Amino acid sequence: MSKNVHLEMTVPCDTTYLSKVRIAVLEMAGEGLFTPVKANLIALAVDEAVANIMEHAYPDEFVQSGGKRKDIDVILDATPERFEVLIRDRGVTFDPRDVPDVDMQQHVKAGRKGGLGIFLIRRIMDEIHYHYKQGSHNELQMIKYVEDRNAKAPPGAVTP
Amino acid sequence: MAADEFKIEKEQIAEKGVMLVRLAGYLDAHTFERLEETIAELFSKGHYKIVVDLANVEYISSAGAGVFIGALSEAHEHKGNIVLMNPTANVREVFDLLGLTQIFQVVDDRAAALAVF
Repeated sequence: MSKNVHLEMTVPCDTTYLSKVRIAVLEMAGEGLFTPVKANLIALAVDEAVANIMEHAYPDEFVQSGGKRKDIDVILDATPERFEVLIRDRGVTFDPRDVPDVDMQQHVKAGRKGGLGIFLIRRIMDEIHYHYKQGSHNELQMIKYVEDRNAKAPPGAVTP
Repeated sequence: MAADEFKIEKEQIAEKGVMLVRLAGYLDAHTFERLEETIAELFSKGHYKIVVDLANVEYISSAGAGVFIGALSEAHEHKGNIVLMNPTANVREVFDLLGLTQIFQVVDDRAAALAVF
């Protein structure tokens, strides 16, 4: 991908629409930026974030007390260097950075099914930022760099 | 297969009383409950030895993986197991990220799956 690509979509708070979001991410991230497996992982990270909002951002008490509209905005920006995702919702505040990491052995032992989405997002994306706009909306920003920042330098490489 | 389709087939394997659950399509937060119901139904009928054929699963999210995670210890309690067979590259990558390849038996074919029991 030699130019910048920008896409904005708004989906209802309904898991039926997860596939629509994934397809958009796969098309943008897979188009000359990342390998198919990596593009799939980025689509997974976005899927996890959006699914979390669909499942938790609009509890009944929030809606009954006059909660705002349930749509979710997904904004994708791809450049030759990075893939950036901004997800905006108008539900209850939830900072995914506060969620502790998962001990998988304990998770399995306890028969626990959920709580793995944030763990996956952390393992896939390079940067995760959360902003709450008072009385308006939540924004989750996630960035994946095209060049693997954690890649080890080849033997003999000079580190600047 | 459309990007939101998900199929489940069950087959009883005569050997060792194992149930083969064949999945196809996209296993995500929209479709995982169907798999959860299938596993619960198998458990309720006393089937705790389960092989899950993942060869045609194009995509899995944590909601899908969570079904296996949530069911494994109950299977173990009843001297059974949940064996994950032939995952695609995408699915295997997710299992690796979650650390599930250290916890589940992940095998390449039916003979290897049956040898687990």
